[in-house]
Amino acid sequence: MKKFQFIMLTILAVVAFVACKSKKNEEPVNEEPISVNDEILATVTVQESEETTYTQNGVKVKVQMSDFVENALDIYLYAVSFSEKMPVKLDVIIPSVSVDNQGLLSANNVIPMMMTPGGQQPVEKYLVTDLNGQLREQSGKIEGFSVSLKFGEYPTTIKME
Amino acid sequence: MNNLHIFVRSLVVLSVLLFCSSLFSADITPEQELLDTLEEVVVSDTRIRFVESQNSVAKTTLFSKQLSQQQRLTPKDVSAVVPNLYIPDYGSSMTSTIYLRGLGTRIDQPVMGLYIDGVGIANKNSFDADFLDVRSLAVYRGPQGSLFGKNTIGGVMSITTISPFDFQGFKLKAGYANHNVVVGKLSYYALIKDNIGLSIAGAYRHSDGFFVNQYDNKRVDWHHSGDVHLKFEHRVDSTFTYSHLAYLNLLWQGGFPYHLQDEPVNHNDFCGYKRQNLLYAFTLNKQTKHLIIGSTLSYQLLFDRMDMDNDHLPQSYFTLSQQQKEHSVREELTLKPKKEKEHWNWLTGASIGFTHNDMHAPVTFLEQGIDSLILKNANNGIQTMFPNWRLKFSESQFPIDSRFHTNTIEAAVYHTSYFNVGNWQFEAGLRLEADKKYFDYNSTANIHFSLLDTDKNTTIGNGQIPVTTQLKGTASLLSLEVLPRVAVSYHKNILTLFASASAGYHAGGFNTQLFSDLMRKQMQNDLMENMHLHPTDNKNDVKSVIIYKPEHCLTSELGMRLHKQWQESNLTSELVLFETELFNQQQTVFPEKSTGRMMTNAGRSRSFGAELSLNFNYKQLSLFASYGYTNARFIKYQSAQNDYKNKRIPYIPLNTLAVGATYSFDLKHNFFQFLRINANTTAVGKIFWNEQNDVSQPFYALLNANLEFQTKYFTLALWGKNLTCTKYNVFYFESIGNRFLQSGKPVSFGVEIRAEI
Repeated sequence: MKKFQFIMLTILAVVAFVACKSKKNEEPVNEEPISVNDEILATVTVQESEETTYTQNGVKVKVQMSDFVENALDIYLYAVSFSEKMPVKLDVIIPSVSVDNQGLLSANNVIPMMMTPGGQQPVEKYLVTDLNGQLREQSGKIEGFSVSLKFGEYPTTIKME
Repeated sequence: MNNLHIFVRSLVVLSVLLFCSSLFSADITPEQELLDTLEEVVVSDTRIRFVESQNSVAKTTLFSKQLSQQQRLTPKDVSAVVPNLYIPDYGSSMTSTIYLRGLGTRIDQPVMGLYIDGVGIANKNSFDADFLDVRSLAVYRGPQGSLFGKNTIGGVMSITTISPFDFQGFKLKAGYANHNVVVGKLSYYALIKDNIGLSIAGAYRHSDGFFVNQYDNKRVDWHHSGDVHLKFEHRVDSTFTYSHLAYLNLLWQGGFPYHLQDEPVNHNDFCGYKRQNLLYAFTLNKQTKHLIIGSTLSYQLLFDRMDMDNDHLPQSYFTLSQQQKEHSVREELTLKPKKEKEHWNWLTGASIGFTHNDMHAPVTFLEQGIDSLILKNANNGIQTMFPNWRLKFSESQFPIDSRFHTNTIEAAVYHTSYFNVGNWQFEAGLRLEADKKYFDYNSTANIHFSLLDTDKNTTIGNGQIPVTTQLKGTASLLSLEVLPRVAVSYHKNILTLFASASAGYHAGGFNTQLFSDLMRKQMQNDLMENMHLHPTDNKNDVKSVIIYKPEHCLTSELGMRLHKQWQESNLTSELVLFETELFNQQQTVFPEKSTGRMMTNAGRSRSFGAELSLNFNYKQLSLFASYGYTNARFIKYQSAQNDYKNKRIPYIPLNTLAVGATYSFDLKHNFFQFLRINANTTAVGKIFWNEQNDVSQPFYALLNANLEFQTKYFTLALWGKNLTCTKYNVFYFESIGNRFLQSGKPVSFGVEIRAEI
């Protein structure tokens, strides 16, 4: 009897071990590519200097898949400024930001585009470097978004409100 | 040949014929003097009669003889003759800016009510018209709100014209003066029956103008105007009288001869004013067993159009056109006891009125205005970010088209009682008034723009992008007012002493003239938005700037009046001291970098002063003197940039002075019967032109004279104004960074003939 119980317990342990290992293998390793086309409101924070930051709340941000580059998306920032001293706010596009299936965002040395009447103009002054971020989406709708980057000289974060 | 020319030529021909026929008639007489009286049957409005009879009201009264001798032809001409009254003659006949005892504003509502034969004139644009057969003119100074309601915080001017019961026959006047001034007047008065009177009066005035526009070498302030008055009066019996009054005024003139300092008038676009005014009133007085009921039902129609080169420069910045059509209906009802009691008498009344005003006021931006007032600011903003970008419009000019509709409903009830105790009289009055204004506005502008890259010499994006800007909405303003008055007077023999305290209010309204600036700002915002640029300062809070609220005043007065007659002499004098506190003061400002002007409730001010009037007659000699002093300062007025506390209120003269003498010589000749010489001076100043008090007009005086030959048949007068050729300015303002002035009129002289048949 004791021997039978030992064998049963052993079998149960092995089965449990195998079951757990199978579950671990089935955890999110997302193989579906990200697909997003959505607008959110975000807070944009710019480090103007070591002592001062400039924060703009309620910035409309649109994220959509790039038409020209695979696994990349375009980030649209509407009426955004990077300093309190800027007399006007701009509509800016950060194009071709790489995104993997886990929603990790990255880009470097990307020239942002400024929207103009009927088109776009490159704004070399605000060259985007060291862009890193995370996007969470569900069925094309953004559930989480945060990015850090440098616009020209200015470290900037963009975070969904 | 237009109707006005036909009217003028007919009038001239008729005048000549009458004049010629008069030479062959034995009934021709020179102008007779009407009894200088204000009896009840003469003045139709009960309130006017009441105020006239009160001992505790500061007043100045001028009769037709004095007005005629001194060539005082319009309300503007009685400035300074009434102490502390200043109605500067600038702009056009649309401009009736009245200052009285430190109170006054340049736009919209007046601070003094104007009544003609008991009918209140509804719109200030109608105030400046030629006197026609005026019998008397009285100004009651100080707030008259307890009886007359809004817009009488400075006082009331009452004009009484000649009644057919005063005079029957023809009155004729023809005159000519330098600057090709032609005046003609013909009136007919008749009694159809003993108790029915009818009068028809017509007048015309033309002037080539006094000021030359250097741009085209033409006179800029020419003038044509015509007036027709009809009166029908029926004194049915001793208890019932009624009358129909109809007044028509047509006017067409150039105007706004503004210029930069030390430069002549020089502008390249048309400036002028057209007006058609119609007034009809039905008045009645009915005595019942115990009461006297008075009623005045009036309808007034105003059509006018003002055109202005709004930059007043030879460059093409922008022009303004303002057309309005206004209908006004009003009923005034009064009740008073039929028999005056020994100790207590009273006056009660009610009024109701409705006014509808449609205004169309396009501001047209021209090429230089577009460049400097719109594109320059827009490009400055763009080029801080993108130095090689330039914004350009396809249009070389475009209108900002604004349409406004204002409806005003007003109602009031009031009561005044006065108590006589021996030589003392005590008065208490109260008026409750409601005034509701509804305003709707619709301003639009359409332009096409393109954005250029000046480095690459290319158009950015698509060229010719349309932008439509619109400001549309409604606003309303309700005023509920309580206007009290208390007074006490003591009268014995030749002396009257009085003291009073009274409240008044000056209605609020809407800053229609600011809409071009609001639209300009909105257009800049819309342009930038279309370029995907978003100005950080894009606030355009229309509702916070278009409404200005009523201002309220409290005035205290102490006064003394003396009337002494002895042998062949007659002396009347009046001395009044006053103090006025003004709350929520309305102040006309020209906003910085603005094309227009706006009314704002500035804060608080205080004015105090004194008024002295003297009239002395001795045999053939008549003397008059009138002096006013006003110290008017801001108690509290803080703009965004400056604090104007203790600064003098602009446009208010510190002093007004009028002095004159008339002497009549009895020539004892069969034909030349009398010679009258009149000399008088009117003086005004110092006037500060702005809140900073750093620009001013010093005190100045104008010498005027009149020489009259009274013959057996007619009166021939030679007259001159500003005989010392004094140079002075009557108006100052700042616009788009420039300082503008209007000069006072130069010397003028003329001749006129007056006769009665």
